[in-house]
Amino acid sequence: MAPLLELDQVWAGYGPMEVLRGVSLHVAQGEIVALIGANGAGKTTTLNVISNVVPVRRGAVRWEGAPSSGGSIVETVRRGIIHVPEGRRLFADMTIDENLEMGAFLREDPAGVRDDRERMFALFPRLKERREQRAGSLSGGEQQMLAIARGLMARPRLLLLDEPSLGLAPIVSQQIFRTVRALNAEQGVTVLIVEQNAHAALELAQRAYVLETGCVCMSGVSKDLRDDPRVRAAYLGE
Amino acid sequence: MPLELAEASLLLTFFNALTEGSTYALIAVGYTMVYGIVKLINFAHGEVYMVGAVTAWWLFVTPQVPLLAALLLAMAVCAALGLALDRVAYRPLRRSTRLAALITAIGMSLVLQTTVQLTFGAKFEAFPETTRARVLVDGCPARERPDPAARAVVTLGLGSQPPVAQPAGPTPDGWVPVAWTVDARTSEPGGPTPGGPPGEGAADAPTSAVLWVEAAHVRRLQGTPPALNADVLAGAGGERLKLPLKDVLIWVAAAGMMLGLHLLVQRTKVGRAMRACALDQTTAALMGVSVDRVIAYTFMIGSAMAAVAGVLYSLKVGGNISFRMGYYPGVIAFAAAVLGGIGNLKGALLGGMLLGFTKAFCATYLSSDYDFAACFSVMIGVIIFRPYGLLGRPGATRA
Ligand SMILES: Nc1ncnc2c1ncn2[C@@H]1O[C@H](COP(=O)(O)OP(=O)(O)OP(=O)(O)O)[C@@H](O)[C@H]1O
Ligand SMILES: [Mg+2]
Repeated sequence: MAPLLELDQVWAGYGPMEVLRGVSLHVAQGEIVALIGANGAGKTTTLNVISNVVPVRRGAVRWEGAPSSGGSIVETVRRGIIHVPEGRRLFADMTIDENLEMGAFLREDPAGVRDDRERMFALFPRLKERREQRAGSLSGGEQQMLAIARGLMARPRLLLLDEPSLGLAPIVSQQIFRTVRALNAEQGVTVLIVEQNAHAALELAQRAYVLETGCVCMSGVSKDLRDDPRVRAAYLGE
Repeated sequence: MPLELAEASLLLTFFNALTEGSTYALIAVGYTMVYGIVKLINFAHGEVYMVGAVTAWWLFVTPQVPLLAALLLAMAVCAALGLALDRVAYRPLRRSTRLAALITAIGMSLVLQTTVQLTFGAKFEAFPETTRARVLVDGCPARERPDPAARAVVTLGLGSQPPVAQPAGPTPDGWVPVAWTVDARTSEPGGPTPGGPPGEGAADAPTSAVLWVEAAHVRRLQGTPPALNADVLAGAGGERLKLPLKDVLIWVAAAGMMLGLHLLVQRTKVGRAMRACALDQTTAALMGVSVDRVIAYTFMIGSAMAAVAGVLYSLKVGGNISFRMGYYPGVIAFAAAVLGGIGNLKGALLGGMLLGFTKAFCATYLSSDYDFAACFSVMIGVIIFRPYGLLGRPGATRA
């Protein structure tokens, strides 16, 4: 059976610059997969290619075996690919409630949306207390919670998380990782996560890809990568 | 109780200011909404206002569509025009430089003007009803008389070049003299003394003048005023000032549409999508918002509102409908949008009102030669001290 998502020799870039040079990876239904790599390696670009924010120049992105690149961003959202972008990108002038509503933009079941919102508030009680507040007035950690909650409101089949722990206190990022794990275990949400913190990423994910200047240089089961001397030296600081 | 001329003039100026302000606000909304989302000044927007007025006028005069239907059809035509402008002129350039889109906007503006000129000619037209109550003061076109009485008439918006008639009984083309007494206290000290009309002693009456009115409308000035032309009666015939209904129509339409738009933007899903696109288009798309469709809605809504402004304002002033009529209102409304804080709906309302008041009061109390200059002075003054406009914030245009 075809994997949920597959990148096959994908090239992409900006203007004259080639950022991805033949990236291949796949994510199967129900997995948590991590993407790690140095700054500028092309991790964000990889996620952008998956959600059609950046066009593919060569190669193919396949969703359940069918080509999915070349269309609009909204088409990927319809398929259930939900991208929680780097730097949160909340609608700062909207309230928390409104941001959550935006996350559920394409859904037609108001009752389900309402239930899901309560579920988000149960998951992130801090958001509930502030639901009428502007998203821009939240703390960094609260904003990250809201960004994830907003993504979950769409009932994703594949959740793309770009550095969800960026700038967060260790306690808060641990909470976010726990939440991701719970979502995966309890609701079967498939996750592709980009993480600066390789330790945490390899702990969370079952498999991982290591990206280096636009190429996948290593991949495998997290446990093996954790034990790999090159990964230990380059990404785990040992 | 008769109103004194000074009071009547102040009130009428206030009414005019509200009317001009409402008109500018209705147009400015279109500039500001489009800018808020696309970051583009749609310089063809003044032409949309013009097309709205011309369409309703043509429908009203030629196939004699009822006025309300003509207004609604003009709104629909303009909405379609806004949609077409976006599709044809702006969407293909969305990823190119802003300068390209700007030049295209100016080009579209010329295309629309020329098309209307070729189709309807270059004459100034008016909705029939509004041209009838033309008034002369002492047989002179009201605009040329330098005294307060004439100025009051000009303030009334009745200065549109009437035929010169002899001040003796009804003329063959149906003009009738109507005596009009003006309280002397309203004359400016040292100002020019208006000459009394022939056959009336200028000594006993403080100031008097003769209004020439088309025969069919004499009754309107003498006794029971029909509501639509009640503004003529301010200061004339000792009547109490009535609310000028055509102005009220514009105020109500503007207030209603602004409120409706506010509710749409703040309370509905489409409105939320609009705000999301204004804040961050890529992220809005990542939520599933079809950005191009939201932009199309924005053009349609703004254009329909400009149509309302064009129709109702033309209905009021009369004799202004031509292919050129969009230029000044377009430019002033743009200034209003900028000075209110471009991208901000309340700013468009505030800016429109501020410039409407500036223009009307300048026209009455300084000179109508400088009214546009006054508007731009106000805009420049505001922008110097608040570069992002009255309600604008530096972050408001950030992606
Ligand atoms: N919009 C853009 N326009 C031009 N160049 C870009 C753009 N976005 C990213 N780049 C370039 O592409 C390269 C890869 O960027 P990318 O954001 O994918 O890296 P990353 O792996 O996510 O890095 P980080 O860990 O810092 O987030 C960088 O050299 C960056 O300068
Ligand atoms: Mg990145």
